[in-house]
Amino acid sequence: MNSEPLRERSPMLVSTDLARGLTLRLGFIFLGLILLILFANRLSMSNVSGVNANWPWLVVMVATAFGGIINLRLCRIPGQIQAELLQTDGDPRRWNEVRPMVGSGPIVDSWNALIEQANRQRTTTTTESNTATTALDSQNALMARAMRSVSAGVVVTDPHFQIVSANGQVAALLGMEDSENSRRSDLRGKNILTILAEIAKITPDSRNAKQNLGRLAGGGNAVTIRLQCRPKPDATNADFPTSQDTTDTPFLEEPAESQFLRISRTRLAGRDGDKDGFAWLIQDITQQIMASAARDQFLQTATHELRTPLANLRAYAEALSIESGVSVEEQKEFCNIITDETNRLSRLVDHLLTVGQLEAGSLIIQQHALEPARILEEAIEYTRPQIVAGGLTLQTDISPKLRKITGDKDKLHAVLINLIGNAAKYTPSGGSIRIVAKLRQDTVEIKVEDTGIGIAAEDLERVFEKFYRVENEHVSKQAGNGLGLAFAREVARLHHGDITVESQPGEGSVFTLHLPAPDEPRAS
Amino acid sequence: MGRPARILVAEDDAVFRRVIEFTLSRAGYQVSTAANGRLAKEHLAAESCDCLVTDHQMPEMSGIDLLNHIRAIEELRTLPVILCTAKGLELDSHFLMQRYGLTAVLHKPFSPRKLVDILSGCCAVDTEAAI
Repeated sequence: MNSEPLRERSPMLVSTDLARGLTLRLGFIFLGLILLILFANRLSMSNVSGVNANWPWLVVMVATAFGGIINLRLCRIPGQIQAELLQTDGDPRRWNEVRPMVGSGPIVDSWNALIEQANRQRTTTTTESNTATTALDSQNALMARAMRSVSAGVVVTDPHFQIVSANGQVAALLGMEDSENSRRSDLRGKNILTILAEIAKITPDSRNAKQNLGRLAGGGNAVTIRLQCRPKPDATNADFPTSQDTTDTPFLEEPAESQFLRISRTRLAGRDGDKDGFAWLIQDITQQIMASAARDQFLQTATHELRTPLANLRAYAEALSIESGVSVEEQKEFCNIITDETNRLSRLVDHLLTVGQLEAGSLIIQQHALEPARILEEAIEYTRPQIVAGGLTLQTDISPKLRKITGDKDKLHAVLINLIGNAAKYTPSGGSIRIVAKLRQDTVEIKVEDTGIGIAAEDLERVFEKFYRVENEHVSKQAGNGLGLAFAREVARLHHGDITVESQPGEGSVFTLHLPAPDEPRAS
Repeated sequence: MGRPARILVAEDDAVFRRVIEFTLSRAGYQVSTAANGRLAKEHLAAESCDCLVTDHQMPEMSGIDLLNHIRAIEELRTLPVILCTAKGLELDSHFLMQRYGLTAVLHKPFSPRKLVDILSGCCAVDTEAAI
């Protein structure tokens, strides 16, 4: 539409228009008047009978004058309308400047109704489009924020796998980030499959990588693959159980030195389907893979540990039944061994069951009224031989003011044995262990403090993770499967308490078990 | 009467080692034991033996590492070896038997009598008797 108002554009046009109309109308009247005057002249110059002879003139005059008057009247309203519309220069946005008319009659009423309708619609449209625009803007802004925050890489490619857009995390995930600046701009236009092929770990048996990349490049609405990649520069090889057995699956040979990505490709939703391109989701699943592998390793170890006592049971039972001439002492000894091995097996089964429950999150806590001091004392007695054998001294300070708690005696017993046992395991000979139990504001706090090897800051929170074992020679020398503290924390939390730790490497650690002890515990 | 055949048993579980030694000596063999792969390797280097019965997973040197070592040595290439393992179906025993020329792979828990039967097949008690 023309932004220049009509008025400025051609003033002559407007006035001509108006003038033409007006002139036409006035012309009629004028003409009529002139004819009237002429007729009057003629009439005065001739006699009365001249009226009859001059009747055509009369008719013409009257008709002309009449016509002019009617015209004037008829055109008044359209003329007003025309004038009002000219005000807006034909711009619907200026319809608010158009005025309703005073008067009555169908045209005036229609005109006024039309203006009212137009104004109402305009207001609604403006409000609607404003609301719509604001809503869309804020939604877009929110989505953009989400894209920057989400912990996965999101990529959009065209049907030929050229990157059209990628959120900030993608560069980091694909190991392509080296500075704050080299992010999305560097990725646009690059072929995502090429990048993935470059970072994929190519091992002698790299069937997996090739196969997986092939699946991504192929058809299908939605494809998800797992890709083993060269490690990121700052990846730590940490506490990953490596197997010395060459018969293990090659894929997991050196998982500690790899990064694992889960990559999903789906067709971009839209009218044209996959002609539009693809949406990709990239996630770092290294942690999950490592946890899985650690769990598998644990299961393998567990199976081995179960079969060993079973082998003994069978061998000794057979020896007793088949061998002739076994002395009485030997028979007794063998029977004792069978009993011991049965106990060993039984403990292992309990242990495995606990691990299974930990994994499934289904540990059950009994609810009984318990005396924390008694449980602690029993645990100390149980672990005393281990402490003495380790050449360590033990101090205890158990407050007489401890309140009763509600909980599971066996599990708490196991937790305390674990904590004290750890203190003994990781404290070199000549060191000491201090056990303190006190009531602090409705909580029973049991501290197990040692002067042992301590735990580094970066491991401090991780020691409570399942299967986690700190990577250092002191720890690896000791037997352990990384489950004790995970179990302990789970038990503490199920009692509505917790376990906390403070430690200084080289100086020692303090593990504190917090158990709620309200004034009136519910006994079962 | 020849000399009794010498068997080396490499096994890290002391309790199991004892009962195997018990069963094999009662069967007439001369039994030596080693608590892990490294000690077994040293024993084989120092003394000759007619058959090796070895566990799979041991500290310091596993059964597989031990096998890799001895099959690389000329004199030990044809030494009969029986592998005992606590690994079950996850182990590819066929592959291992082919690769290392094993006489047998026994899965724990197994009957010690079965071990004696297998041994008598590859390694007679009396070394001068015909097999």
